[in-house]
Amino acid sequence: MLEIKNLYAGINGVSILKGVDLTVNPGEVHAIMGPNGSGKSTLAKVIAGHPDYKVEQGTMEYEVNLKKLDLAAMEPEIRAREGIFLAFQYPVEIPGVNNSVFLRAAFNEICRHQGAEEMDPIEFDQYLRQKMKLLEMDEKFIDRPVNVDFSGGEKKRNEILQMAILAPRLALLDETDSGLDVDSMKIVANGVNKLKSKNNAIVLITHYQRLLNYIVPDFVHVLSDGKIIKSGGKELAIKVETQGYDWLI
Amino acid sequence: MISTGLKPQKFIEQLRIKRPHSKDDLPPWLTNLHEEGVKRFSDIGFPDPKNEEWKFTDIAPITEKSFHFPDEKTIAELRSFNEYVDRNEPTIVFINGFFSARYSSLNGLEQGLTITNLAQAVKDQPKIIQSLLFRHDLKQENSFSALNSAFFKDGAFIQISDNAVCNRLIHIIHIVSQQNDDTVIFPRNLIILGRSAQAEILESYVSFSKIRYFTNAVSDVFVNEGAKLHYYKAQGESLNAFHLAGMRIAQEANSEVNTFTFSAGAQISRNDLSVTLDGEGAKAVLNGLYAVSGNQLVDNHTAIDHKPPRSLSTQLYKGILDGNSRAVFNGKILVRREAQQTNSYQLNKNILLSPSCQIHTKPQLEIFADDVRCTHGATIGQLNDDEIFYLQTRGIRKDFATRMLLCGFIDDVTGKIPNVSARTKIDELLTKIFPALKCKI
Ligand SMILES: Nc1ncnc2c1ncn2[C@@H]1O[C@H](COP(=O)(O)OP(=O)(O)O)[C@@H](O)[C@H]1O
Ligand SMILES: [Mg+2]
Repeated sequence: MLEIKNLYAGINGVSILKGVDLTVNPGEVHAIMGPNGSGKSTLAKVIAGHPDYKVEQGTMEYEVNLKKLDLAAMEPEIRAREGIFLAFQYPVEIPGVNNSVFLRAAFNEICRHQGAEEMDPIEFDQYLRQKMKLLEMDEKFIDRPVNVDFSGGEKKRNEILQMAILAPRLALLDETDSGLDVDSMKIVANGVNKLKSKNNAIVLITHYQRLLNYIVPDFVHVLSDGKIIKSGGKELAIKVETQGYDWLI
Repeated sequence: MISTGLKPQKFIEQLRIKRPHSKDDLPPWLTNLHEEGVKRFSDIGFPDPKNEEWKFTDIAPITEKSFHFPDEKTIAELRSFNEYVDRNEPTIVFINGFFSARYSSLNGLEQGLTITNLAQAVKDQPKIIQSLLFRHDLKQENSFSALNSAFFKDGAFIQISDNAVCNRLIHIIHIVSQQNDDTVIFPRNLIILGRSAQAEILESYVSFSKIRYFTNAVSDVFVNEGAKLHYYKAQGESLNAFHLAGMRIAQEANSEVNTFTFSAGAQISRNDLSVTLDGEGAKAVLNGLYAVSGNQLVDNHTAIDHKPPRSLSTQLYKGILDGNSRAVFNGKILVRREAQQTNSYQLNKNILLSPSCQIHTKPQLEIFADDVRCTHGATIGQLNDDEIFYLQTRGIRKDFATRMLLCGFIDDVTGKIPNVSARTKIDELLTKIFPALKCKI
């Protein structure tokens, strides 16, 4: 599904990713761990297509429905319509833009691109409410401006709500667990697990092993100074949690 | 550059020669008023480039021209006009300054509601009109109010009697159509609300053409005790037009006025909106929106005079600028010594879409009372790239994302137009002139 080879990327002329290799297949869950500043969020944003980051070297190949796509050549919205979703570490607030209006616009753009049927406001409202139930979100969030005056935890939940609505093929969750209390984390993890299938893949970026008890990864990678320095199974996460990163670096 | 050497005498002489009606048509007091206007204007002339109030608004493109009075009385762009008006609402129409009974809808008005053209009202109720027109000290008028006093012929006269409530939107339309360039109109509107009367009024200045002309309008609004008025002004003039308008609102005790001043058209436009809070508990809410691009210049000057104790004013003006456009916001708040316990808030927020547009925003507070609460603020920003990226990662195209953000930016201020019909009309003008705000999904 996603094959990243020797990826170098940076911002303002400073290289942050320095040779990342990562292969993600349908049905897999990958976890990426690593010290602060190692480039985890950068990797997620580069995959999603943030215009400030320049790909300096390497390739990102995304395969969907037997099409092989060169991600670097695609606008962020096209990547999204092809099924890539990024749950942000720091979701932005968008004053004046109504959550449900925004979600329906996004949903319909993606449907149109994928040749699926669009939804009218009434249909969409039902669909939205059903997904909100899954994430135990209060209905008051339906008509609030996107993320405005949401608590940290509510923003994270809203990200996963968007994931539930947009049903991505490849979801990148950047520290979705930080800022969540244990109960909220269980709800979010449960929501993510429900969206998991053999056709889609999830990349979890996290600091804590905690989340991985609920969303069990097939692979764990440690990113340090812009490179994946170690890959392994779930046990790697436990080792990192107890021993830190020093033994790896 | 602001040019110097503006010649009021010449400007006024040209107009006087071509004055459309002889003095004999008018009652002597009105002729007298026009003469006072001429005199005042001749005395003070055009605002000097050194004048603080006009520092950022170069009117040379106006003063350098020679204008003449229009004579056409028909609407060439009838389709656009018909789309814009709602025949089920009380509507008074002026075409190139001339009252048009044909396009107005003045039948079946609510009890207590009078709408006529001012020239007619001068004949019907000379005493009232005379007293209202002389309420303002002609010797104190600023240049363009004086110019209007010198030359106005007609405009809307709206009277809502004591306790009368008008639920329908009252629409005043000044449309300029089909004529040669460089005509000038001098609309004068007069609105009076009796005690505890209620009304919603939309004053539109539109042209569905590209012609060049000059609108010099004055609206005087008198709001008696306990009355409640929503006053919307929609400026969607031709992009080659000049629009210099004064609105003077006088409010008695416990009255409430909500204004919404919308500007999107004209090459140069200026609104001088002054509110006098003349009775305890009077409340003025001034909102505004401007959206300009190309080489447009829009200037909003507000002035609120808090005279008695316990009055309230709040202002929210939002602006979107693109291209090489410029905008000015100057919000003057005067709190007199007697005006204890005044509350006054002012906020001006701007988004600049291009590096070559400019905004000059300035609060101007003159506070002589000690027990007051006044806050003011101004922001100037750009569209946030992270917000655009966020929307893009949800499958939304960049230009659509931009529109969503801009619509989000103005959402709180357009939300302050409670009247659906007025909001629809303003939205129509806005999206026609500034397509980047076409955000209906
Ligand atoms: N806009 C930026 N300009 C310059 N450096 C940046 C910028 N954003 C992030 N960085 C740097 O890139 C590195 C990686 O950041 P990030 O990807 O956010 O790390 P992580 O998510 O692993 O904590 C850090 O050293 C950070 O300081
Ligand atoms: Mg990060």
